[in-house]
Amino acid sequence: MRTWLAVLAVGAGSYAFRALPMLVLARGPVSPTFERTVRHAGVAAVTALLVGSVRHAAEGGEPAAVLGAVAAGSAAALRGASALVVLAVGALAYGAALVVGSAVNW
Amino acid sequence: MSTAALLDRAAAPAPIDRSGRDGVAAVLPFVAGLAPFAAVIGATAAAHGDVVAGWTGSWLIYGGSAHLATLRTLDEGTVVLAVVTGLLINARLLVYSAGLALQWRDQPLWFRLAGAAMVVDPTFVVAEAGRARRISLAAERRFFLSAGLALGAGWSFFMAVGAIAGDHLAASHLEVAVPLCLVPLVAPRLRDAGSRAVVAAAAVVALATSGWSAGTGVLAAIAVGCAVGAVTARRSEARL
Repeated sequence: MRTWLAVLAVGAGSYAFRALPMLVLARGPVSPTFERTVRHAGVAAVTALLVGSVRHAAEGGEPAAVLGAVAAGSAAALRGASALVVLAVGALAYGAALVVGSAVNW
Repeated sequence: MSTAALLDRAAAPAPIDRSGRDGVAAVLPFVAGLAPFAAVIGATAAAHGDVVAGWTGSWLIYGGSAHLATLRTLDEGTVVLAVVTGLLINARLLVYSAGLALQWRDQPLWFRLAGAAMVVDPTFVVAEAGRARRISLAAERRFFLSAGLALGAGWSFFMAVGAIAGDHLAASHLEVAVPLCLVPLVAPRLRDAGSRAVVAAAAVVALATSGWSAGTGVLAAIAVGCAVGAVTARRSEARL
């Protein structure tokens, strides 16, 4: 019952966050300053989520392997690789770092 | 127009609208990349006891970070605390939705309300890609709804897999997939000087606020990133 209550409340609140701007901002003109500011929200949010997820993954497992995987994935992404290729490159780097790490410890 | 031209036009096949298929194709890498994350949440829901309620959140909350934080907080705190935590994390959706609301101003109300339900990090990025390739308002609707439904279907499927597999999943190793999924969204922005400043500012703030309660650090990073972006844009406009 507690899980249902929490899931329903977060679901309803999340929909309100999503729907309110759709209703409010469609009504009238929006200032250029507002548009200029909001334009950067997506990349700022994704960057913050990226930093948080790297930290979380590093704390939960092998920090060096996680950082190596993200570095390899970033290099691939900067070269224009698709999301799937970035994932594959990062996973390979992560696996390689784990193998090297366990060999060194052994 | 000449008769020949009219006949040519009548004989020519109508252009095929692949917006729906393109929407699914655009979101598939995210479905694959976020599959481990969904499985981790499914496994958490299974460990929590109420699997169906936990899994239902895949469609109701439609946001992995908020969903996972809500379930984890439920283990340690009250329902109110879990709800506040989930909502704080999803407060960034206000900003995403504000950006898309400007893009969708000419769209009908039903689409803006239906599309709003599927606004989350990957669909926000996909919608921006959709804007660049937009042929018509109807094509943009098909593109976004297909992407959102495909993401939701994949997300809830892999969450169910995680709930069934439970502890058999090596969750700590799977979690590396989450940052790897976000990297392709950020790295290409580093080529543009304005976006580079936004990324740097948001990353510094996210690191500095990592000890803050769930979600508030992300909001602070968004606020600072937006401010830096606005200042950078104004400076480059002044230079022109």
